[in-house]
Amino acid sequence: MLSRVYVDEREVEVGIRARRPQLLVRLGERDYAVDDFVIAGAEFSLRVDGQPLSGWWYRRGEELQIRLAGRTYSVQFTSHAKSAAATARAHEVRASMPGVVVAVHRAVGDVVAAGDALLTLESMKLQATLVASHAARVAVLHVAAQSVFERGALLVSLAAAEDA
Amino acid sequence: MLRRVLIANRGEIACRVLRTLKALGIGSVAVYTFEERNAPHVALADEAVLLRGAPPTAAYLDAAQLVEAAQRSGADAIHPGYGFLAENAAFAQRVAEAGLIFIGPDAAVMRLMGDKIRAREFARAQGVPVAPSVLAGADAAEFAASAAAIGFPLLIKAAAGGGGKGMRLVRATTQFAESAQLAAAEALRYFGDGRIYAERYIERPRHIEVQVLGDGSGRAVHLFERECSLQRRYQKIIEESPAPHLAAATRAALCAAAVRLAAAARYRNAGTVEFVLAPDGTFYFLEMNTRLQVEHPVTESVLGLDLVALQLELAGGAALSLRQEDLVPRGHAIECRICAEEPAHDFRPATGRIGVLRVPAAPGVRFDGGIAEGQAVTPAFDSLLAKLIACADTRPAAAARLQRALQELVLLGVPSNIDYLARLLALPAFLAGELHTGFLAEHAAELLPSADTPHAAAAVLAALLGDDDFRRTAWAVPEPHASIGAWRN
Amino acid sequence: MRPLQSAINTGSAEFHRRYVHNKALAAQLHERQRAARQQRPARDLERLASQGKLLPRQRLERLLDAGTPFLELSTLAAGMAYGGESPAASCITGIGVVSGREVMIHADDPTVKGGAWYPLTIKKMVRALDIAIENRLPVVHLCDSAGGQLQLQSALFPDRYMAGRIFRNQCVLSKAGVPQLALVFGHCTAGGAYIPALSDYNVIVRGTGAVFLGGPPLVKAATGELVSADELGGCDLHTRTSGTCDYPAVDELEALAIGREIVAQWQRPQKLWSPEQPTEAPLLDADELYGIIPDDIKQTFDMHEVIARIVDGSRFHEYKPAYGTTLVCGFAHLFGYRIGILANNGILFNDSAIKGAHFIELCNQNDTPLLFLQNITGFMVGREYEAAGITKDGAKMIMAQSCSHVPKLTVMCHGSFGAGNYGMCGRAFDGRLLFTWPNHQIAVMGGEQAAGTLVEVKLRQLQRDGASADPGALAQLRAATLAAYEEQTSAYYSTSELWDDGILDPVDTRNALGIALAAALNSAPLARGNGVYRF
Repeated sequence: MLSRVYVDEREVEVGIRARRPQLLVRLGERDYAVDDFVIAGAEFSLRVDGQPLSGWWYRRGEELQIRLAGRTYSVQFTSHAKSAAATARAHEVRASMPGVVVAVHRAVGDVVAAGDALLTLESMKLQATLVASHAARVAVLHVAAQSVFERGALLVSLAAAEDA
Repeated sequence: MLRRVLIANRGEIACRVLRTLKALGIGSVAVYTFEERNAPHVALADEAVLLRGAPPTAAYLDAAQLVEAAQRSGADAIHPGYGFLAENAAFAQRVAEAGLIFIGPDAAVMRLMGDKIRAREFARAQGVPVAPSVLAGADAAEFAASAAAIGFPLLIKAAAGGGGKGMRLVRATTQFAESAQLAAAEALRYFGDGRIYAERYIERPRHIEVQVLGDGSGRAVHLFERECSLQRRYQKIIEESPAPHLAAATRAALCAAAVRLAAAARYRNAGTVEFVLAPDGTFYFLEMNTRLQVEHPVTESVLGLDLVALQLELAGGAALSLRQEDLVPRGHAIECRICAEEPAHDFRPATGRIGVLRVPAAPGVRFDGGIAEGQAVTPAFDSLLAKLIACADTRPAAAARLQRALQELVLLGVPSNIDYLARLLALPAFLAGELHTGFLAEHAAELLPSADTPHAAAAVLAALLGDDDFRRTAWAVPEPHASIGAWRN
Repeated sequence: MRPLQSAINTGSAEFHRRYVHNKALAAQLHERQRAARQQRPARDLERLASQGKLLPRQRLERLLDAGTPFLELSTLAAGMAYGGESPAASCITGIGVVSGREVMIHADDPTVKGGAWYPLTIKKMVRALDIAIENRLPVVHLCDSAGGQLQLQSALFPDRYMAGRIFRNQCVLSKAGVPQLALVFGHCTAGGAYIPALSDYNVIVRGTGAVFLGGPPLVKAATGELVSADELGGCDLHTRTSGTCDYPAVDELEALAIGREIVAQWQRPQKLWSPEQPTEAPLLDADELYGIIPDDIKQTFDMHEVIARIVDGSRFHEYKPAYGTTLVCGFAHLFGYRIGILANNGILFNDSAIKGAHFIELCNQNDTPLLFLQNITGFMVGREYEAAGITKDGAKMIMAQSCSHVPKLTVMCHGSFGAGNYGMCGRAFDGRLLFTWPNHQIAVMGGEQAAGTLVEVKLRQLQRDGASADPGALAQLRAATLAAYEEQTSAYYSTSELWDDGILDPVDTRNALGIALAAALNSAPLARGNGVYRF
């Protein structure tokens, strides 16, 4: 459902108008006929409305950088499905198994980045470290070292990192 | 002759120094932090020493570690590059005390020139023009009064530092007190020395500097001037040699003053004397940089010299072999600094990974970089990635050559100022050579990218087709649906 | 194969009259479809908007691949039922392309009485799933319904092909290895809860989506428990605790995006057969069909003209052209696929019936899908023909057609009366899809004939009883019969009752058949074999 892209931070509506006899793509107000698209490593070539062009490309996550005719463009894709990760980012960190808290690595108020360790837990003779799934601020610590918890127990509450 | 040199630096300058060391067959030792273990300068050197430091810049400021690294690796000299400890007199002294050669001037001269106020006094004593100024004493009101006597506009500057830190432009008496306070606090924070002075500010000044070389005996030569007026927030963006529209007499006076200063200081090794040139042709001494500068390649290009090689020669104890009359500049060279930044967002520093790098190979084009594909660009170090230099017979030809090289340069994966520089080189005002330090601010609107280029659509289409999801949507629709198209019954 | 030549005189008065008539019928069709699709009380549209919901057709357009066709089925279902309360039978079904895959889509329409299911809604949904099973089409359900219309429960719950059949079909689909995805945009209550539960994948929208066997009112009535829809069966409960739902979505757009990603993971089917040659547009103009179709149900027209405006390059290889000429048989290509066509140019005689049977056998031998173009008032009747075995010959044609293992498609281009409907693959004969034209009529016999027959029967009865015939009563009987027939034989009545899969504007026939044929070729080969022919 690629309906919009951002080109150098300007929004452009994208649509596919036809696929035969050529691919016809609508950008904003105009249609463009595209064919002969080839990618070889970091280089690409294609024909737009019959005119052959070639350049360089590089993908950086949701952004594609294109260098064409002496200019670099940044094209960002929007995908509604990416916020699935956002919805999965619980602001609640819960225990998936019962166990004991071995160590608490953060204090209330700490700002954490994605991947920062929050707690080390021990369950069934296995130790695991819970890390922050996204940048956030530690709002509440519901457990301390040596706390025992049940499955599903709320261990840490996170808040948005911008809240100061 | 030096046998083994440790480069106490990284990135572009480390690679630059290593290139000359290799050409001369001198042993080389690189230093690096863990994050940069795959950086090009590490592999280029004969040996590399891992440094500890958090943040990573601290490693390059750790004199003890650097000296130890040199000793353990059997180096007999240290090249400090620029930035970091290059102008740190204490470091130079420590290196000397450790029995190593510091490739640069001796500590006493570094201390002299490092103190802006002492340096100015020294310059004035050599008959080098200095801008009227007054030092801040204990009495703030007295300082304000003396400053006002010089006349506005004024520049309040830190005695112990440069690079724009602790600097404030004051246009009226009412602003003076507060600006002075802020400048002093900033100076204290950045340089550990809160002394400030107020100096006459020249409107629409040009920043002209002169490259000098000395062998410590009092003999010095100049290697002509460089124009470095195109700056943003006191950071140079484009440098060139010779300076355009410079009267021969002025050039001669500038260069003579620089040599006079270097000779009087019994300067050894390479240095640069910076001047402010007013529109009426008068000039004032600004400061002396006791190190090799970022923009040294333009001097090398017009004179056909290797400045690093000369540095090594002088550091090895040789006398100055160059004669002033033999130094004849030919042609014109322009350099631009390629930085990881986003011009569209007020040039904020950018991070990323060098995804694609293709360097143009053309006559008269030189690329001094310290980057390779796959390398991470982090906020740990400054944003300078590389320098692109073009040399040609005339200034317009050099500008055209440099612009073409910028357009052919491919650097993807981290935002950069490459396109901004290309637009700058095409500006009529630039080509006319109407340069001054406020040029970039004055022409900011003209330097904005145009929203609709002829190829913008093609770029979007290429990006779309480079995306697997879009390609599938475009080409994976089966027949007859693809042929029927958007039909509804 | 050479292209057919047209014998139509587009300048004639007859052509012009027919053209105006059929163009008006097409316009009427489009207007009735537009009303069934779009006309809703403002109150219902506002309610949906205030809930942050998209309209069902907005959901559909975002689900489908850009620039691809959508063949909507039975748009005018329930159009002549329930006093018009349930336009399009409160749901949308059709075949479209999602992430490059052909799928059957079924979408509840919450703008009609909250999406509640009427008996014909159920029938339309069951039909959609039957099509999915027969053609191995993956299904995407867009769920948003208040559940069954309780007042009509006896017509939508208990019997074999009522609501339960939906869930039985879902299981059969799953067993056959055909995936299903449900996107839960609103409530899935009671039986409706089984649609996402029986789908292989499902996505639920937080806040508005809910799945429960009993909704809050029922729960309160049953146990006194007071609970909100979200607490009872909302997104978080089902995606985190019960596991009934697979993917949470923060809003409808995200649900659709996730849905498209899920469909993108599904295997691409192997088509049964491939196109033999590249597509070629017909040489003759489909617009002329309006001038070819008669404005009177009793009139015939030359089916060659219709064939020429549907098939690739207007090319047709006619089988046995000199024999049984009231049934046109031959091979052609549709979007590059080879097909066998049977089309009526008159009533069926002995020779046309056995020619048809033979041709059907040839198509089965050759693995060629069959297309039936109906304009049939019946078989020839009369003593001479009975003596010649017309019933046996008709039976042979019906036997060959019913036992075909190749996919069959039917378009009722004009009349479909009596036993001719049977031989020509009417609804009962498991054609993959069946379409009609706006001028189409269907009945066991023509209205005039029926009225005449009933009056005749009445007269004989009166004679037997010795009573006299009252001309007024007879006239009334005649008029009443004609009126009933007129209402119940029309294409709109037929489509309302889901006796077909939709009325097509004649110019849309080629595209509709192309999509239908491509869908049909997803299926596994059927078993070959015949019953016993009565020779």
